[in-house]
Amino acid sequence: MKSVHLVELTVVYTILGIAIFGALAPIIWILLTSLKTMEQIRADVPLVFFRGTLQNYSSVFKSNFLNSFLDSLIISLCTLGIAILVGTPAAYALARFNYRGGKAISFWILSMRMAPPFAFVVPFYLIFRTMRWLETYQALVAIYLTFNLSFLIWMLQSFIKDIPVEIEEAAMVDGCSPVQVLWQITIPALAPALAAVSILCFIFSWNEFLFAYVLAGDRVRTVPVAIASQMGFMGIRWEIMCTSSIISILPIVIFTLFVQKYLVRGLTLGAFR
Amino acid sequence: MVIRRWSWRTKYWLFFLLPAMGLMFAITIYPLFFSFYNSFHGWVLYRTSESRPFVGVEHFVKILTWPRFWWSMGITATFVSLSLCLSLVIGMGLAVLLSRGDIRGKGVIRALLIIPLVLTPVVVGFGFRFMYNAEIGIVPWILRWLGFKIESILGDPKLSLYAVILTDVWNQTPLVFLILLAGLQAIPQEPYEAAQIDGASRWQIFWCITLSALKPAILIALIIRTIDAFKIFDIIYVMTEGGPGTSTMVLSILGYNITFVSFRMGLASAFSLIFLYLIIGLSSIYIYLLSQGRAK
Repeated sequence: MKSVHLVELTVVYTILGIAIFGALAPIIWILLTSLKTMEQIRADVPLVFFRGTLQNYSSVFKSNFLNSFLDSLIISLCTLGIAILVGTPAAYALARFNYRGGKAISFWILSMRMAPPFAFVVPFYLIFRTMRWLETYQALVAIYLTFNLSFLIWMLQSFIKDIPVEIEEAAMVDGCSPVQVLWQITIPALAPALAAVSILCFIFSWNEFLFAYVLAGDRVRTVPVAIASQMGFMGIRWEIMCTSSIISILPIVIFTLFVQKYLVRGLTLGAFR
Repeated sequence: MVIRRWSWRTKYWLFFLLPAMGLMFAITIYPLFFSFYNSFHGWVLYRTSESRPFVGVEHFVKILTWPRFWWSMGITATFVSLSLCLSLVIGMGLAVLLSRGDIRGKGVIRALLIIPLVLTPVVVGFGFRFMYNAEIGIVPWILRWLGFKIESILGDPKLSLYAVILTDVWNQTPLVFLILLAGLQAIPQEPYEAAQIDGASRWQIFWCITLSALKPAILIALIIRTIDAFKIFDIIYVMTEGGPGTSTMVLSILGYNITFVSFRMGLASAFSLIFLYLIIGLSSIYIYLLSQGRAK
């Protein structure tokens, strides 16, 4: 019995190992490519062992590629900040108070979360063009709020409903106003959920491409746009492309490994709401 | 759980709800009304005269009778269904394996498996475009080494869609995996113990107990992935821009072309509204099915 179990366990671990390999192999391959020269990339047989070089990295760092990190960071943080500031009280109000339009509002918020980004590209492009807001930070922050705010309100609403209301009612009997209740009781209890949702919102804003590409271009350039803009007319310089790709996903990967617990919680519980 | 002090409802809604609702109105309702208005007017952006003639429902009719629109719909549907099936099978398998009691290092394994999910889609698209490249990509090299005569993957109309689907599967399967894993971890132990006492085989256990207990989770994964896959843009734009020809022209790419290649804003507005209604229709099915499940 035990040996059968051992064989089974080996098979399971092997399959999981293959899965991990499948998940990481493309990344590792791109990483290896970023350390190659163009001749090495063009080799007849794909090189796994080769003399690596960091010249691609120095080229990328010398260009203004890293400026896009700053742009992405500014936009993602601003969006997150506004979403939390404005969305948390709203989620609280929707969860605790029974408004007449409550269901309609919930449906509206859910629809915005599900809506295809494309449906908003046309009007936003035209509106921002008139407002002369093309190539600005605020344009992207406004648009990202569409998803982030609705996502945040939707998620927090459910999480707040899970917090027992007795504590809050007790506090109110003691004379706290709803603002105090929100600030001192609900939000601390909400902290892990808020962290999970914030991480998801941040990652979404960081990774977004369509709007960043369409609405911002030269002066404001997020990381995805910076990478895509390397599609020159001469074709793509693959060694630079791979290098900037690795540079841009490195923070994401490290970040994910640290916060994966919250990330998983946010993704799965969000799904089950 | 609702707070019963009605007086506070009205007093504090100004603080709590209004900023968010105001913001949401400005950034969602207003643009949609604008789009709605535009969809009934002809407006070509590069024409210097500011004429925007009223054209009624002409745009909507044009789109709904446009063969390319339905072709795109078909491509999108193929993309969604294949990506979904593969993701479900792989995600289910991995979730079942990882939720076994005798696996060590679950946290590490899970952390590594979700990395493809959080990467920037643009990076994923370019990475795979590099790997699929006919001259220097590793995928054609492996395929040729295995004996297939591959000239080009992304340049071949017959292969490009499947290549793109594979990329999306790589990118999004971890999400399905996570949802199914959570669903599996929520299953209570009693039915399993009872079944084992009754002498059921492993396969029977899986089919009857596990699968039926997982139905809500599978449904959720199905719907989230369907809606997300319908909206896809980044990966395909970066890999093929909808080509070669129209072999990977999903709805988002078609819309992008109408807007930023043809610059026909009226038509684009109509298209985006049709697209929006499509997705909201799907979402409504989601909400409906989910509430049905809850009622049980």
